[in-house]
Amino acid sequence: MKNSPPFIHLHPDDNVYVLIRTLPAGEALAIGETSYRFDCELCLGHKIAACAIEKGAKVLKYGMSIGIASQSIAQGDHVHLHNLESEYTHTFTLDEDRRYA
Amino acid sequence: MHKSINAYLRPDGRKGIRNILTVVYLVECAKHVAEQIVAPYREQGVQLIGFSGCYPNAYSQKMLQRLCTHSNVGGALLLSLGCEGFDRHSLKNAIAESGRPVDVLGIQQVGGTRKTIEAGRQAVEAMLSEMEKTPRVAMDPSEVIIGTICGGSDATSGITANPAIGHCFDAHVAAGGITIFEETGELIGCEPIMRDRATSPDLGAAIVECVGKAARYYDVMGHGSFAPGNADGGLTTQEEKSLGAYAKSGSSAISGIIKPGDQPSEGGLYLLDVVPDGEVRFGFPNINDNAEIAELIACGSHIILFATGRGSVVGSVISPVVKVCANPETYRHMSDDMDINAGRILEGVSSLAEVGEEIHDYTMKVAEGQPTCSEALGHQEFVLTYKHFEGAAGPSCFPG
Repeated sequence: MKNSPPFIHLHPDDNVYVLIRTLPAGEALAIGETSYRFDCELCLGHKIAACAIEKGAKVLKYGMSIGIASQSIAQGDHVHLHNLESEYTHTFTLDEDRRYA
Repeated sequence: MHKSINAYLRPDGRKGIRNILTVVYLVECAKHVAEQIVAPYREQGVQLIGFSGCYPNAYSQKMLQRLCTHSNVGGALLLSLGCEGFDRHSLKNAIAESGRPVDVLGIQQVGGTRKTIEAGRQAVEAMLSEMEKTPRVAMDPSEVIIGTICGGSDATSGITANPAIGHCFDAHVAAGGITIFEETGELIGCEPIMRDRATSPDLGAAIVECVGKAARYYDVMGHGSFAPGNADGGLTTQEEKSLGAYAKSGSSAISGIIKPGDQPSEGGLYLLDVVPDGEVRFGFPNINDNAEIAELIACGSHIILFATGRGSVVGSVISPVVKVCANPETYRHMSDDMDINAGRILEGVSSLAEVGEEIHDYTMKVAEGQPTCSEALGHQEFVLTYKHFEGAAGPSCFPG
């Protein structure tokens, strides 16, 4: 268990991993041959980029889009509010054509 | 492969995995009498359901009819005060037409509380004797209808229990079975993905409309959709939050939309639309998890898979509830209440697919008669409230 990665790849198509335990600040996280460290603690449930994600690309979790990268994301980056935006316009009139075009 | 199940054969040809006698109060005023009738027989599969309202309501009428003629139900005793608005005659007739034993007792007619309790217990004894003779029949595992719900969720729900249930659903649908997922209000943001999974473009459009209805309804109710705590837990967008709940549905094609009480007849994955039609009335679509469980059962579910992270303890009448615990800490803390430890995924000892397979295996054992934790603990929660649905839901909801 100690040697198993602290994250889960929920779907083979996903470009993010999800932490399955809290990662203390400064603890190394290995993706392939590369090791990444974070300045602050990252809690269970947070996302790490599994590979580089271009600005404007879809971020995939469960094999499905959870939004668009609002800036370029490097492998190993924390993926959250600062670099991922919803594609979902939170309007309750649901202008379908505009939203899903 | 799973072996066949020794099921109860109903006169209408359907097969049940339990043999329940429902005692049904038709207004709150009859509930105490109904409870007292049930009390000595709780261990013998006699269960209390009912409707509190005095004003008639087509939805609750349909719900009680579907529940009393559910394949897990072998008979029904109806308890009326005598002056309530519920249409006891049509409920009784529908149950009788299904070939099940049914009786109605009116408290005013019988002569009050004590006499009705006595008459009710006699009726229960007679029906239990009759139900003992229910013929048994081999039931293929693929004939088991499985519903799913999540409640008491936390950050682990969307990464362990929910997707593991999705794996179980995929296996069951692949074998030809019927699976049902629900709560369109918690699927806001998933509708483009669900549309693409629909078996026809018409159904896809209906799914988008259905989620739109839920979004409008919850907006009027002032029900927030994305709370600040969600972001602390690592969720970034509305669609990501919804996908966590959506993951229970697995990856099969979506075969249809159903409304409470509609019962699919073909194998496949169905979306249960729990949100009332038309203008907002009567309050929240479902006031708690058990209201949704009752609807999944009214749609024919033999077994409910309930994903929980923080730790819900509820069970249900009529159909067994299987607790799939997402969080390993919760599992250890509340192990008496939890059937499956999906939290093992977080500890790196099992994969999603392995837990999904375990859920499916366990579901089949429950179908063969093994009690779930909530059954063993005596949980028999039930709630039914007012709702409004337009038109005769059913065939029109099954495109194609």
